[in-house]
Amino acid sequence: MESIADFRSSVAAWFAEHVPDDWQARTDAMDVKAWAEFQRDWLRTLNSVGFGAPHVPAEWGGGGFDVARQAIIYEEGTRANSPALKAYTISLHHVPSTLLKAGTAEQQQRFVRDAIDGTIWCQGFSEPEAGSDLASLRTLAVPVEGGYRVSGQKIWSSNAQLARWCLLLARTDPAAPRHRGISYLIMDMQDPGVEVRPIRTATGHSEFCEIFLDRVWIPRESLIGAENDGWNVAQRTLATERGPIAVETIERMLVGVHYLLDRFVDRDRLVDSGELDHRAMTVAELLAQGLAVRSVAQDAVELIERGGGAAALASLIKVSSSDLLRRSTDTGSVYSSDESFVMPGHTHPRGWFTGHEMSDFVNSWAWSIAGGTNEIQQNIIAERILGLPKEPRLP
Amino acid sequence: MTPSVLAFTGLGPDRADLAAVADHLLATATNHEQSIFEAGWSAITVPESAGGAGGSMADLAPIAEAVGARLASTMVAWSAGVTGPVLARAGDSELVAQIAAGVASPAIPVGALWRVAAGLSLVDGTVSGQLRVLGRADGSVVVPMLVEGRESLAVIPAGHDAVTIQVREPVDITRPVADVELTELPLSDASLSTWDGCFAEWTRRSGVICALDAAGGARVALERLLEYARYRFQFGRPIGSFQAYKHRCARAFIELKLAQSLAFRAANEIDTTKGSRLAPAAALFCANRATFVIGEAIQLYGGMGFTWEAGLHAHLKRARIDEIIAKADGWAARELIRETP
Repeated sequence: MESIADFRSSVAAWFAEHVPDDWQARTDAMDVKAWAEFQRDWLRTLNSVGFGAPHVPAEWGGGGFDVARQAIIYEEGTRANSPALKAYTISLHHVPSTLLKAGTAEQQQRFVRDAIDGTIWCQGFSEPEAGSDLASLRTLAVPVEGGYRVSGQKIWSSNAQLARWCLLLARTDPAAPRHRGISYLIMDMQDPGVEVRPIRTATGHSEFCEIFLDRVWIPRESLIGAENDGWNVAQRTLATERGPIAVETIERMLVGVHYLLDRFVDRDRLVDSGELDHRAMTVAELLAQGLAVRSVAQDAVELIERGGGAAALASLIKVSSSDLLRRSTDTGSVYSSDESFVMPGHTHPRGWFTGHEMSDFVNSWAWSIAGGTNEIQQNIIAERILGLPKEPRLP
Repeated sequence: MTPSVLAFTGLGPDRADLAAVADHLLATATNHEQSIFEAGWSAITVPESAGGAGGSMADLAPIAEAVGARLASTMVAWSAGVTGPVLARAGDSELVAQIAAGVASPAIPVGALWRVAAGLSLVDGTVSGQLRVLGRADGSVVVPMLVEGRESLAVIPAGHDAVTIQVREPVDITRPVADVELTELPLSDASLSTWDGCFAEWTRRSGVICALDAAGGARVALERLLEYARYRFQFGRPIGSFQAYKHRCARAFIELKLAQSLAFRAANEIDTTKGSRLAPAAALFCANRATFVIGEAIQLYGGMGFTWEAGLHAHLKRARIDEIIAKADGWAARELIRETP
């Protein structure tokens, strides 16, 4: 096998050759559907060299790369401004990690390769009354002949308006203790009982949705793992070693910080005069913070490579990367001055680094709130890692 | 259980063992410098040709962190990580050999080298001026100078007639501070190492040593805080069980881990191209975050944390001093920007 350094060079060269020129300008005017199609086409291009799902075994449509190479693919892709595949996050990560660990052979055959090839999936987890306290979810899956009839409501489901399938958590035994009466199911988003309503977020766009379920039919074959074991299945399968994918997220943030450096710091003047103005100082601090966050993400990859588990670093990476994003866009939104007054032209959600600092600043709350709020992450760190006592429960 | 969670988990097995040994040794030693010398650590980074172990900054790093954690004399870590390697490049083999043998730990200037050098005057082959130094100034002192416009580091014997040492009462009680006055000291009486870029190389390496030192101090401060959080009862329960309190502990943990990771990575990469960015980044970031962590430990320790007896103040001051040295009058920030592609 070629050396790591050679691999990095060949990956960088591939991206340099294949990332479409001016794709951002070209896609600005696309509606949500067209933008999703653009992403799908790009995913298929990536898949031709296994870069779309580098962590998934090749037999399932992935690249089958080791952890170090996965990190390189994410790093080099981001540095080459490879379009982010936000429509396919669940398809490329949650679906293979869930079904390849806990799915039946039939489910794997039917869904995994198809997802990686460009079928959009969404997640049906959070509910209006079950956010941080997800285990209190109420969507009910009533057992009937051959399957379930599911009714309830889900919220914050990214890309639900485009999704073909849904990874759903629903309650199959209301009498059981909270965590034990939940099942994990694959739901067909085309079922007539499914209604999707996009939610307009603070940015003005609709990147996630409510899903209303009215007696949706789910066959028993769509159960992932055992009935009423859904909570455990979800915990196990979603504790994916998120080391490498964190690398991509953080790399994108670092690109954002470099962007601040290029736009707002007069480097020549700095070198000539040796004077550090306030902006240069702030950007230098952000660069340092960014390198620290990246260092921890690299630690996670290296730990996994050495055969250890990086789960203890996950909460830390999540909070610290959201801090970086917040501070970087906070800074950039002020420095951007006149540009911050006018909405950018694109009509579809474009993730955290659109380059319009004000939009990115507003959108930065998506990361500090989603994926387990920073407050929940701090609880996890304090209780599970630092061993501090839990708060006493009310009787 | 908790101490291992706070220890840096990014070391390979050998260095993790070294870190644990160093930490234990320094926590129990009565004479830190002697213990470090007897363990052979003062010679770790000195080249083999100069009588050392020929190791790298990566090998020294766990020891430098432990030195900070246990508030041990910084001077051996400094001599091994900064003074020795920088002077070795200029070929001062005698001093380097002394460092390797644990005999010499020259006191070092606290100010940015360029500023200190600019404040000295060289006339007719003699040097005059003042500088403040960190470390015991009874052996020798490193003095930066511009000799015929070229960056130089002079090692000056403290007992020389032209040198006046005034020991000062330090804010950081763990490390001595002195003011040095040179009155027409002949350059020929100093061991001079002249090479272009030695100021930057010195500053780069000292930034990393400061980062490690402060990260170590922050680790121990947080360890003590967590112990307190578990056994201190108020309102009928351990105070660490309150969410607002535990969130601040979690926040301190996050900052500690970021500082540790960057400090160790900067040490590992000190001689690579990545290191040209990581070193100033560590200088800018780590000791500052460490000071924050220790400050949180003091706050969350309540009244007791504010006492002299509790000892957290010593960590705070040391970390802040590390930060001032590391940032070097804005050098770290400028260098980081300069080295970012």
